[in-house]
Amino acid sequence: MTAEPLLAVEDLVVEFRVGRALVPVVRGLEFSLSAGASLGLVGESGCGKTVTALALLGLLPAAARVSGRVIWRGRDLLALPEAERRRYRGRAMSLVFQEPAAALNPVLTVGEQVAEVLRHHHGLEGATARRRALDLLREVRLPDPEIRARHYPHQLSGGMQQRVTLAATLACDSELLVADEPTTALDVTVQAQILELLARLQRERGMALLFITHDLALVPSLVERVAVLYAGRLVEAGPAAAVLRAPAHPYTRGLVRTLPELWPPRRELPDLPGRPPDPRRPAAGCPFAPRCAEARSACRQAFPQRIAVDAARWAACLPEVATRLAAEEVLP
Amino acid sequence: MTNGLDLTLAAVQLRRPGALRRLLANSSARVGLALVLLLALTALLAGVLAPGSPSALGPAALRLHPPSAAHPLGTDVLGRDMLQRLVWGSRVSLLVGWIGVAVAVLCGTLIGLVAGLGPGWLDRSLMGVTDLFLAFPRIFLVLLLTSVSAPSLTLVMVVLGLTGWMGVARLVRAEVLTLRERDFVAAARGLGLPPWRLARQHLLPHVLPVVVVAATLRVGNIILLESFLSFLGLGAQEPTVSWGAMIEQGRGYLLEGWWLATFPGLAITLTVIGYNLLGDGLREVLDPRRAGGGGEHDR
Repeated sequence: MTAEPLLAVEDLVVEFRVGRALVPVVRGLEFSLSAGASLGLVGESGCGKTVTALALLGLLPAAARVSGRVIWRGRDLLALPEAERRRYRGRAMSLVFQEPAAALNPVLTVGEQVAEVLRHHHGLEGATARRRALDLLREVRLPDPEIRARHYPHQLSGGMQQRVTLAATLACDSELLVADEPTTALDVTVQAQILELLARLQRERGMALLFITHDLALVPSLVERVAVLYAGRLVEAGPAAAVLRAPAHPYTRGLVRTLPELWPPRRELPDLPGRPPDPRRPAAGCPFAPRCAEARSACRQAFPQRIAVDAARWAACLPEVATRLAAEEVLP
Repeated sequence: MTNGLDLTLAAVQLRRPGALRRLLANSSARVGLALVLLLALTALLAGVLAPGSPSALGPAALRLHPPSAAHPLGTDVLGRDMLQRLVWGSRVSLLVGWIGVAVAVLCGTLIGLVAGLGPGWLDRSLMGVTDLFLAFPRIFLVLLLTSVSAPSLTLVMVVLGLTGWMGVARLVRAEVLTLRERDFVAAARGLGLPPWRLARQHLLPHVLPVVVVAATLRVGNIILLESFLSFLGLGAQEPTVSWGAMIEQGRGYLLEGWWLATFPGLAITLTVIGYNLLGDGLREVLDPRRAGGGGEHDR
């Protein structure tokens, strides 16, 4: 037995009520994270990444039905009433949103928004909370924190706004940071700075990190392990470097092949043909089968079993396909 | 639903420097503010402007004198100076207007926030109570409640407040329902902030402009209702001077003493107009899309 994980997600299912129907968006997710570890959750738009993040924190709207288990240090958070659930938000895990501009309250100064969290979680008052908020804004490298703290969100750039939302999550002293595409709304140079900041904060504070992204290229520098999500299901998981070097699942392979290379320049970027399936019409079998070059008739009957590619990796694919693909390196 | 206000912009407008300057650039707000300030000063300085007791009997010879140089607004049936009584009466109007509105706005905002943020069953029951109150004609409710005990000004203020919160509650709830779908509310919840902090820190600043406008527009309404109650004898009692009671006293002398009912009536009208103009002006200033020049947004 290994040590008890910080967070264990078991058979997480999220369905949305649409009219009379229940549309499954996340279908049986399973992963775990130990304290201080990092995991990348990768997938295309609409595969259930954000819904997963919101489900972990219990922030989904009432139209969503969540089942399965989200076990935090041995306690199933999904079984808790809202009042108790709330105590885990912030303190246990906090969430960084994709759009920093929308995640900040437009009518409060950014310093106040960080100080408010300190007041709640640490019982700090007045000047102490403000001073500590400044420390945090300094820690996330917000330029001129004394001046910026008195600004409203719209007076800051996107990168600065994202630094502020990070400072607010740091104010909780969370053990797990869930970052939902934290750099998607930012331009590329700022993106690199924010990722660097995330990596540094994780290292210095010993936080666990769940990094959610559609961009596989961001993964290896930031996280140890990666899990690939397709149509609400995990299709492959393993050490980030190994998965990227030789993906065992045809979908991951497709994603890796679409990564642009800086050199040598390719004339045309390969794409992944087809689109993700409509969650309103979940098909039996492997959801990737319609887009998969390797698909056999068996793929359309039932969702494939997980195949252990090696001790640390698995893929939900046919054994012969997974082992063959895992032996073929795509990236050097 | 929102008085056509863009809440976020309005809340930012309220906090930007120069709010008063922008308010004064609006002509209806300027007139309204002047009337409201004039009334407030009159009430505050009543002792200086019109020294002496407004209810002490005047000399018998002075009964029912028409306006003259000594008594610009005439005297009443008991020989008391009308101007002096009018000045003192402004205190009652101001007091009842503001306290009544404060009670209404406080109850309404609280109920609206709780309904908007709370679980579905709480929202449904609170809105049910609100609809119940709305379905009951306010004036019956007011008459019923004011007649249960001896008439007093305190009772009038409380009753007018407790029967006037429904509109504010609905406004605030509607705002909260749209606000809680916004990312920053989810983000604040994600940081572990409990509902009361969420309401106070994140939602209240957003609904404040709506509440300020609604409150200002309601002051006039409540002053009008107070006069009505005093006119019926259910409000301020002698020796307290109230405009409504003054009209009531002048009711029997409309022909021989036209000034008795006319001047208090005029005072009520001007006050109500003042608050309504100020409320309209505030709404326009707080809505940058309608107010000229206030719309620039450094983004």
